[in-house]
Amino acid sequence: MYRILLILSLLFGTNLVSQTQPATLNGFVYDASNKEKLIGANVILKDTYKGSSSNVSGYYVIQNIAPGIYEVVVQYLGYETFKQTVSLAPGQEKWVEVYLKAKSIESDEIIVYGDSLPTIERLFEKPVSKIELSGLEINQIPQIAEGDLLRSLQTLPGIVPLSDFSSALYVRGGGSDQNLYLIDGTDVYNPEHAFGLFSTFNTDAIKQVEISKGGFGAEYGGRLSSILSVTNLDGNRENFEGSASVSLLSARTTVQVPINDRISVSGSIRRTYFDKTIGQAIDAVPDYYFYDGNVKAFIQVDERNTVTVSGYGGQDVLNFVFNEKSDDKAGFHVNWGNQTGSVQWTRVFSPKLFGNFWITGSQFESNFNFDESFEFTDRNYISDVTLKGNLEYYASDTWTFHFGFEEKNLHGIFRQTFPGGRVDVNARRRHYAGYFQSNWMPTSRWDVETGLRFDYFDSDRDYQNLDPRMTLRYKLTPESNIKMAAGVYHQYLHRLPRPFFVGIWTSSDENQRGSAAYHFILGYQRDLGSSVEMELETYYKKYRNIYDLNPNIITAVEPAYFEDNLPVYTSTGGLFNKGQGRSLGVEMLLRKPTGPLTGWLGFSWAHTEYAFNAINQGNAYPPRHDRTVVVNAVANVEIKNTLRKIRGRPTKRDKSSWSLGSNFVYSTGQPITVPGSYYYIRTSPDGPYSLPVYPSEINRFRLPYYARLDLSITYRHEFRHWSFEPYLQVFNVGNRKNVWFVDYSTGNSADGGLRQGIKTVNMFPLLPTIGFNIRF
Amino acid sequence: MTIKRYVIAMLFFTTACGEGIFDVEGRSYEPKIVIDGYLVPGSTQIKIYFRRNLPLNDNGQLFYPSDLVLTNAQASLTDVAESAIYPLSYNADSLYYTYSGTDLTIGHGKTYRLEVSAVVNGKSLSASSETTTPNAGFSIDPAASVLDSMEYNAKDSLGNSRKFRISFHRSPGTDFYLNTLEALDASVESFIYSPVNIFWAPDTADVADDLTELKYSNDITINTPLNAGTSSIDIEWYSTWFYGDYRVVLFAGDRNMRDFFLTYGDVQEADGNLHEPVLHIDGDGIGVFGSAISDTVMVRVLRRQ
Repeated sequence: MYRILLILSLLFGTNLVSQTQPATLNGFVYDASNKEKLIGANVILKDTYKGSSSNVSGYYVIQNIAPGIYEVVVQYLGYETFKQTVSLAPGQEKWVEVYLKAKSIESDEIIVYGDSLPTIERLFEKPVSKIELSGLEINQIPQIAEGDLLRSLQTLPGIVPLSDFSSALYVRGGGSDQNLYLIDGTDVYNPEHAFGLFSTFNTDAIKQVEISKGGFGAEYGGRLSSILSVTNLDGNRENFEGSASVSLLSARTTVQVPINDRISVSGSIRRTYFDKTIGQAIDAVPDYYFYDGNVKAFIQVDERNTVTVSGYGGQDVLNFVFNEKSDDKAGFHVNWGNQTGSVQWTRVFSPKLFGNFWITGSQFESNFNFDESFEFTDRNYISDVTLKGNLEYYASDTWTFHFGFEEKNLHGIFRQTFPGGRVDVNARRRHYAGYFQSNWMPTSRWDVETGLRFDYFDSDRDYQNLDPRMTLRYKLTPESNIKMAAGVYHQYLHRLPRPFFVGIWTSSDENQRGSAAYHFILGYQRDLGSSVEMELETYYKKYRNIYDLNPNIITAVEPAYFEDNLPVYTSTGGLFNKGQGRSLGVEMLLRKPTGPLTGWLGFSWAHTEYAFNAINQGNAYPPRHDRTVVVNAVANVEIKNTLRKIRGRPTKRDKSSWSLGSNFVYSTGQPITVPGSYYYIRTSPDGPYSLPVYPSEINRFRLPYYARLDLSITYRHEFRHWSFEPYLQVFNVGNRKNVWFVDYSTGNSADGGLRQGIKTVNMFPLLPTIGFNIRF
Repeated sequence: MTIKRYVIAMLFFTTACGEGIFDVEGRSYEPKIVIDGYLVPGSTQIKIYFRRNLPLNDNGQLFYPSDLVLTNAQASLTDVAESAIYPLSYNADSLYYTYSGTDLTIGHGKTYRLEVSAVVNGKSLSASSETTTPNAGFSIDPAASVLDSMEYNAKDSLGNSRKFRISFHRSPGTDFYLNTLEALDASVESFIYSPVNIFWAPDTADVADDLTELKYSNDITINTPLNAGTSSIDIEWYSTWFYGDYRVVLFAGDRNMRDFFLTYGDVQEADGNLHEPVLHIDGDGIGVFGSAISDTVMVRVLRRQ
């Protein structure tokens, strides 16, 4: 009987064997300046082993506290330590809301104080392979024209771009469609502006970004490689706050408005304007612009209920005339964009049971129309209406259960008309998922997380999968941790990349199965002192049933039926090559998140190979995004305080300051297929001769190494109620000619002779940009 | 410590300067037999070209088809259904391989196998391919077509664009039709400078440079119904660069011709990387061994009055 009680006690946290009614402490942790909820704050009862950290909604709970008087200590990186004495009566459920005051960003003294949150504790609680960045950190990295979230993530080990011209992410060898992008809990399907040059996320509106590069828990599914979760600012509930920025690319502004002490609204808007400036003067600059905007309202219904309503909308517009000198001025018009919206309800049902529930909607649509000279139209649409809930049950001090559900209603339309036929795809899919996850801390040094996720994908052909996940965390020494994670992941959506056009999402159906990946990760973390942290991870990923666009798609697609003798295509058959693959690698991240010098040094060694049935005779080859070695060095130096540190003087916040930013990247060259030869051939039985190229073994060669150094200098002057920050950024300071690809062409002579043309095409040269930020 | 930081900074900076030199010439050459041949149902004459391929070389050297012909190839054509083998021999006057006997007439809807071996760059190579010729029944239907002559970029009374249209009776089992245009009167003088082309506004020097390329153009229709019946293909105005007469040859092509035509020139992807075209050749060969039926009409593009 005692054993049964003990098990029940462990499972449900009710201390059935205790004679004394224990007390409970719970509440939310906020930033005192704006009442934004703080994620991951450490809450402890001084002189006890009891403690907790705030979850993604800022909620914390400490259970099974013996009645008495305690000092509550709350710590959070960059904030002053909060202390409050509380008296807990037997059985009392005490609600304590914590408001933390921010320290000056330049201060690095947090590690000096004995009661400060130790770096190693923060690292221990962080899930495996997860990296968090703030909006401030993203904006400090020198970029092309202005801060960009996805380009910033490309500076982290294990995340690489395809080229300077793409903001797409390739995480630990995975494809660019294997990343789940969430903005305030809502899926974003094509998060890109300007044909992939920039991402859709306005960095001024970002509160926090979390990217999980692998081994993520059972809460997440639907993608094989990574989860990128962007949380936008809830809005300042204390004071009106705003910022405005002007760069060579765009102008943007963000405001946070307190309606009352329970409601706040924040909003951002951004628009590019080179169509109105240099586009007016230079014909070669296309008539192109994009705009986007976020709005978010935070409503504190009562102590235990909050509702957040958020929305995002963006649109890219391009009007292009092929030849301005032509009489017809023929051209095309294309527009595309995302719209998302969500309502999130957060409820503390009881100190032990906490829940988040969402209704989200996400839609992407692009439309392409030629003028009357060409009979061609293209419409690409996907929508997703999702209902989901995540619940946390704090069973005991040592045991927490997470469980939840998700129902996604997907609708995809792709319609294309052209002189020789049309494409008409209209598909509705449903994706149901449920998960259960247990977090068990058998001792203060161990954390065991086990989970199970069930997916049911309702399509032409249905798919069901059960994905086990597990994470082990162990405090090896007071300065170091070891972590291990393993899991199975499934994905039922596949993105069909298209040159010039935005990619098309297709789903698993009778032609394509669900893709699978298996993650194995081993990590080591160490506090190196002076607020420098080190993370070392090695991983192995195996892919099954992955899909790559069939480059010879035109030879493989078959019409479903005919209309006036013209083919109508409705199926995904022939679109993809099916394959498998594996990735393995080692990553090291040295990071200094606080102090006058902040930044990180990343190193990764990786090897990825894919094998597809119709490519390279089925032999394995490295994909284009494979990089053997990548080194990233990102630094931001606040000059005055750095000099003070060097001279041994205390740092302080100055009215005016200069900061230097740098971003260096070195990587092994990308794999590339080069021609095995040119060959002479007639293009048709009566046609002229041509000199096409024939490829050699796929991706057998590598381009020269890629290297780039970006620098920025920012001056900040604070006036009484506002600050002004002009900046100069230089992308690719060394003007290194990084090779993008090699272009092969043919020249001809009047007598029918042909000559080869080989030209190396480089990526971005040195690009200086200026701009300024105003904060008020 | 300061020196160490300086060295690291300089290392970063110098690494991030300079030029990535990528020399592709000569490093990846793989000798191949280039097959260039089409069988024509009803014909007794076989014309198949075998050439060697070229290493990459950007030194401006001009190449001509005659420079590359393989004269030492061993080749044969096999009627697969009848297991009849027809050895092919080299014709030095016309640079192609042919069958010198009189007992071979290419049939409709029949499968033929080409086998070839040769030494290229000192390496013994061999290749083979099969084509199934299109079935009979294909022809242009002049009565249902819009042919003869038309003003460039003509419009009807409602302002809609008028185009030459070729209606044709399909070859059952064939779903690829290639329409090639040859501007018979192509010259710098006959180029259509006005109205200005929607893509390009060349001067006379540009036209002279690209005259050969501009002279030929084509349109395709693919995945037509496989049964007998009638389809049509329009001649788009952006395919015509000159005033004057055009010879329009419409081919009904087999799978090999179709896949070669659709993929041979489109092997470079948006990110610059290359992929393999679909050639249906086994072994050490590249190119095309296809079959086609053709029919020819003439059209004339007139200056606007």
